[in-house]
Amino acid sequence: MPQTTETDRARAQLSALIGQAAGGDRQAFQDIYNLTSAKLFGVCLRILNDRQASEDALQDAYVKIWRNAGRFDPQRASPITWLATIARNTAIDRKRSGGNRVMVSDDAIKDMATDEQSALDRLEKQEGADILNKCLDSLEARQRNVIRTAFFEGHSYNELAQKLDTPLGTVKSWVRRGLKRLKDCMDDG
Amino acid sequence: MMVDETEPLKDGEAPNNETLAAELVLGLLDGDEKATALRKQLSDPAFAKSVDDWNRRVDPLFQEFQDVEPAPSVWDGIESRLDGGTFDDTVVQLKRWRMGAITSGALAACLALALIVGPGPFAPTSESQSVAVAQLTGNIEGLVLAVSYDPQTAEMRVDVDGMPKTETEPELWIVGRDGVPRSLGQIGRNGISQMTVPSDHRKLINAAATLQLSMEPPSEIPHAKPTSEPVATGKITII
Repeated sequence: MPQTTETDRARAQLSALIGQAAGGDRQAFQDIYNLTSAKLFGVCLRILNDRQASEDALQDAYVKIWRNAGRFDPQRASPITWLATIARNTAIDRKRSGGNRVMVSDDAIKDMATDEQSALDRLEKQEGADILNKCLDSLEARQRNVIRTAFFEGHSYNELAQKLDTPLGTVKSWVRRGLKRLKDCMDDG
Repeated sequence: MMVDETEPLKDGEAPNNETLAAELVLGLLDGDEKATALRKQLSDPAFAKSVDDWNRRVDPLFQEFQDVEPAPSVWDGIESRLDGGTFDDTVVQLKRWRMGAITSGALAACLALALIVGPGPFAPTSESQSVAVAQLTGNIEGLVLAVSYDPQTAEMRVDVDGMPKTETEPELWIVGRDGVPRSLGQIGRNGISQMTVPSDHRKLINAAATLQLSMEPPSEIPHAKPTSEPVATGKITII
């Protein structure tokens, strides 16, 4: 399938660039930035909900990427997931450390709709998305919503409980039972 | 067996490894729980694999984040941080610090941990070139904090050992030349907490500064000023 070939090629190119950056190649690192910074900035912005804090987090994330490029293993993770995970974790750390005083948005529980897909999204389109979405759809609505909200907004259990005005134990129940069902469903294929 | 889906879990019910891995991946854990899970990821290959597996499972969700172009100045900021940080200090200080540090069990444990090669692609990062360190001690018997700070990533790691049980939470403060404590936020009561230092506090982290720990009412956001005397203090050393 031509699209798969294109996807594989784009992924291989990004993996190769990370490998070159690990060897100290600044140009390769800048290419990585040009290819991925809009995606990673979107991740930071979603979690921090503040442009300045997100730009700070984005800087921190790319400095980490530069310094840890040698640890990227293409056998274990796709390059864009590896990069986006670093950005997401950096943004979450910043939010929790008080680097940004975020008010959680009131629409935290709404379903996150997607608009058109970027080139990078198409790059990452994979069979895993179908099965994940099918399995998320099989969860109870509150289980699904609380898991999605945790992922997209980077909330801790305490923040979720506060946000939903629901006891911590109840929120944990929703998440944990949802996660168990999700795993069972995905493992079944 | 039917599970009652409406019944809340009992408070303090420990999750199994699979659940804990998912919670770590989703970012649901805070403070002590997060520090414990991160340590487990470094020390327990089976748990590290569960973390990798969960990263793979949720991977497609990243497609749903919208692309947003950052300001051009962001790249300039990154580029300026690629070579060396804001620190360049002497080997003499490094040697002096190392000799002093060897006696500290907590710090030795922290260093040992830092030397472990991460088991997976999402393992917490630990390598560093030029760092700031501090050891905090005070009047509480057995309480030791080992702090390391990497100016290139602005990440601070705090390893706490010997914290007694209290209703208050430990909050870390940086005190610069002006003598004013500025909060770096509350940290885990035991084990390693990791945080990114806010950009306006980073310039304070130099050899003239002191770190202080005080016990404060629990709060998600840093307090404006401490409400109690510090229980531990320590000078920052650049190595």
